[in-house]
Amino acid sequence: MIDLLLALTLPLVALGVLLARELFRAVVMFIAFGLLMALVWVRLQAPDLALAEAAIGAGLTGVLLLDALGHLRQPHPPGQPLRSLLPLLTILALVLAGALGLVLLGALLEPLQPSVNLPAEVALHIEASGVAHPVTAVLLAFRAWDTLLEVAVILVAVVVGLALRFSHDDAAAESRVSSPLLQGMLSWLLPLMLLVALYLLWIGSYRSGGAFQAAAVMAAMLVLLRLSGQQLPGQNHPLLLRAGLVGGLGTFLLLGSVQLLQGGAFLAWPEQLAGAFILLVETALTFSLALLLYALFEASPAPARKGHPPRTGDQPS
Amino acid sequence: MMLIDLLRALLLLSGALFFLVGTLGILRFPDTPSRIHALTKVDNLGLGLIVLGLLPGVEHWPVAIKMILIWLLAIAASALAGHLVVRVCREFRPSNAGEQQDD
Repeated sequence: MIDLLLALTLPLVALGVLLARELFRAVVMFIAFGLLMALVWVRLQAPDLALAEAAIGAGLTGVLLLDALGHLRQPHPPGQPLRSLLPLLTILALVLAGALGLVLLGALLEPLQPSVNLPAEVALHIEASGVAHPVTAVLLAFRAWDTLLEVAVILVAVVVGLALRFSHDDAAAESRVSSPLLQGMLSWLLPLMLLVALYLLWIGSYRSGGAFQAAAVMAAMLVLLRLSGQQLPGQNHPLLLRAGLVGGLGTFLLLGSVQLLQGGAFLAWPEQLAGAFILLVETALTFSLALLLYALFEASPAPARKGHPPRTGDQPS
Repeated sequence: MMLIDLLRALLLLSGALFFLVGTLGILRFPDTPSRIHALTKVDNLGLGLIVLGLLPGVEHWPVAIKMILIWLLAIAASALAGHLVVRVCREFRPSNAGEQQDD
């Protein structure tokens, strides 16, 4: 019953995102879509994915989209060269979406051929990985390469974002929400959020949780601090920021190379210390990813909050 | 035992009813402040009733504490979000007619 409801609602909300006449409505629908998607992951018994979807897919992406929306509402110089390209872009998007849909349909129709029973394989080797949670074992022991490259991709994205940002000089626009209640609540909420983030990081070794989820919570902390107008410690130290941004990947690479020195494979953890190494990497990744995700938010120019009516940006669907 | 079950069913149902009424309020109320009123007041009560209804079925007490904590956090968060939305709303439009803001 719940599954049926979810399965019916999800495509409807997705359609709502695509067909929304206003961008703001589309963004709100997108956040709702992310939350529903998280529920679907819970129903599919993938709590790790649900956590990541809710925190990153709905939460952080939502914040980024709203932020971008605020930027779009700033007055633009007249004459938008993209307007004339709109039909072409629409066709291109439709073709791409159609091709992707066909591929997905093909994948669905393909009979399942479980040549390797992956969950059983993971369960068989989990002792050797040094952690007790299969998802963490896959992410940081069996398929550590994937995680490493993922972090590298995010780092590249942030570097590009920051590079683009520095070409804007008007980033000093005020984007503060000041309220004594907010300040008061922050002193309650922030320690709690930090606790939750560290908890998520710690339980990653034996339950659902881990670096990405913890990082999303920490990034949310930073965004909250930033929006409330607080100065972030170390905000004006580019060197510190850069060190933080690359710290996770650096630690990952460094610890991953330890076995190389002894003639082992890259990203193979030493047998006795596998658990400790994974925890170290996860901790470094958490702080670094939190900064990276936050930097994505910070990289966008500050939204216009003053003097612009919030109902513009109509988009032909 | 039967009585407890009956009570739980009653609590859960009335909680769901509160959510329904709150959603109706968001959809039907004319302006942002009254919508926030519907959202924060009614949903917090609904969530509280649902948590209360679920509590007797909890096997481990840490889970029960977590559920109560979630309720308290939701109350605090919705109060704060509602406060901030109204604040921003006032800043933009003294007349307060139109769309609901992000919360």
